[in-house]
Amino acid sequence: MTSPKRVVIVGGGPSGLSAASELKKRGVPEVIVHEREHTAGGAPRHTDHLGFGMRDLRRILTGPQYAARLVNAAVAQGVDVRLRSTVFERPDADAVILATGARERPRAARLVPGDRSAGILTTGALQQLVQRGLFDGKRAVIVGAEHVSFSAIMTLRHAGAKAIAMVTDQAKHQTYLPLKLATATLRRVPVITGDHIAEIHGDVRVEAVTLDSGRRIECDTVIFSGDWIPDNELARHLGIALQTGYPAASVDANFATNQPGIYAIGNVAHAVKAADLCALDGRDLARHLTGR
Amino acid sequence: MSESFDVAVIGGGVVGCAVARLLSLHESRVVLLEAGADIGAGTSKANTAILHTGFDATPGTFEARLVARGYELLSAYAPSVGVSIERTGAVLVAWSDEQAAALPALAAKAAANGYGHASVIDAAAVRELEPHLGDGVTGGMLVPDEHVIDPWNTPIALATEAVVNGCKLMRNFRVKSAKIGNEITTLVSQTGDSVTARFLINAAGLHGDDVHRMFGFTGLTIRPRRGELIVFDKFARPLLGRTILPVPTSHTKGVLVAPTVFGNVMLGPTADDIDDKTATGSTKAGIYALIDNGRRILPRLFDEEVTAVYAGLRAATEHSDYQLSVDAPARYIGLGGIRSTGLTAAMALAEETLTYLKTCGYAPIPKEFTVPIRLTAMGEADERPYQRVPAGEPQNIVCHCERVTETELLGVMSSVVPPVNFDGIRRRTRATAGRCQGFYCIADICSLTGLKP
Repeated sequence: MTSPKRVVIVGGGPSGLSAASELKKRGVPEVIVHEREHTAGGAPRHTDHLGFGMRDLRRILTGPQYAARLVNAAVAQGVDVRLRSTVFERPDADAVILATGARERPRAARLVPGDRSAGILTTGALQQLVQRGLFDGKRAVIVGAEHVSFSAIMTLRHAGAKAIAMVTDQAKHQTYLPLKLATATLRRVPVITGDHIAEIHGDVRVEAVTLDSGRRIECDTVIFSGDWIPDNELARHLGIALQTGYPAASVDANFATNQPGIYAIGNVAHAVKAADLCALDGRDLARHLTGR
Repeated sequence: MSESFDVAVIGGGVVGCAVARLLSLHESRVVLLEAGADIGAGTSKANTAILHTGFDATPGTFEARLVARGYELLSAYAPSVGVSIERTGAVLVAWSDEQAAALPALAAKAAANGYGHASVIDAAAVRELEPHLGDGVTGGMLVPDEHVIDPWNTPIALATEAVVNGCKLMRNFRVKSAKIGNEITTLVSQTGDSVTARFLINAAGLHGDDVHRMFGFTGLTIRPRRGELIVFDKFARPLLGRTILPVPTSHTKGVLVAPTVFGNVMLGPTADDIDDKTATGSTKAGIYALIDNGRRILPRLFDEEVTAVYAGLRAATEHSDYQLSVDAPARYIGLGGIRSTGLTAAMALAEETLTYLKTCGYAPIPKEFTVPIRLTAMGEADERPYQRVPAGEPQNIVCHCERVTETELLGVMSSVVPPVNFDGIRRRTRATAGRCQGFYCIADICSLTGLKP
């Protein structure tokens, strides 16, 4: 395959930035990253604790440090990173790479009944509010027990709030044992398995949740964590086929979608993975596009 | 010393806002008193957002007349002030032979209401129009003028026009007591503020009966009817061309599936008579009932994500019609029992109020000069601000799901009736109303607006 002259990447998170840097390094003349936020770096920008960069940069960094490194590397390589720039239609390029990531499924999409009180957030929203000193909760219930759910415990601690309980409908938590030990176990957060939030109570601010088991937990915050949904809006708009059973873009071994010239990497192209693994997607695709 | 007015309108829902606006276009000193923190934040915000023709109203009722007239007024007004209408039309779908047999009578009722465009069609024709409908359709009736409207910008536009034309808006003014004097009435709020006015309009919606009693009147009892609604992701929008209505019962118009002007699909409402006027939470039973209905009506609906679940309370009474009352000696007009059709009827109720005021001996003359207003239209079919950004320039979108720009957010913060909380931002701009529910943008919006999440 001949190396492309112009590549447009949609999304400036770990996978998009890593692809961009590698493409530039391998001599692609024009590499543009469209990032719709005011800063590039993706979700790690808000995850203010250690645990990033192990498998791609061979370092252990905090989320913001990791994000900054990826951005600096891309800019140093001469990648054209365009901020606050949203892509709605297929960009004009030899290759288009979708790296639009994933979001956590919010309360409404999980059909959790009850009041629409203040204090009902996803982990992503919590992290951003905490980072700016805008989070004022004290007692939080975390829904889910995935990696990100345990990350929420750390974020709450930063904000001087306490995780009262984790509730998952699964039989067991779904994270690495060391992460669970370092967070839930160390902070003595009970993990309630096989249960659901039946109702959220609170006229203005969250006051409590009731579980299916009948148990009532007083709290002022409910964090809906994980249960990721690929951000596939642009992919669907461009006619890209999705996987069966999970709405990520369907890609082949080289990240090619069913639309010629359009590739998808990172969490829009598979079940959610850690940032460093998404970054490795980006590098692999860049190597493929420029001929290994 | 309390400020004095010619007319005090109690209640900043869509009806109160329409009354205040019409009075503000006349030589009249008007005050609009809203108990809550924001206007349009009670029953008005959880509306099904249908611009009703009134085809299924009971002929001869206030509701039939005022919905038909309100439709005419609002259809003309909305486009001029930035309130989006999507001219989708509706189809009433029968799901049994019994329901199909009821259709000709419904068409006759529509005609009796002065609506001549309803036409009964067979099951095949229904399916051709709406190919994604579930199995079991037995017939239908087309109502080509039953459209959808932006229910949030409607009261905001009306209130904005009222304020720029001299109406005083007082939010957080919950009327606690009323003293009717010989010529003026004094209203005192929960916090001890007071205003006086010669004439009183009760447009207090759910609390209309409390206000009614405060003035010493009886005969109005509001029993909230809770309606739960589910809003689906914009990806569901291609599943229907127009509003899918059920064959109505005497209790409720039933569960419908409707496009929204914002490009989503709405399923609801349920109808539960309850006692608590603050019970706006959704329930497991309600959600399950809607899921059952939704799966039957439009099976593929649940392939898409849900973006919102909410409940609204309709100001139902023991009567099926609006409860309008005039007490000339007390200089009091009550606009009670205005249910979901009130969005459509609001501007006609305002005209009606002016007529009632005349019978009370008050006939303000129209102002020679009035100030027009225009909000940013929020409908998906309208041109949105991000679409006006020249190609190649950053759009500065803050809420990505609903494509709301920084300029729009700053714009509403400095508007005539600015939002005071996140819910107010959502209703004025759509920000955070989309599929991510603030996952990406909540902190940015807080920083930009200074409001708390």
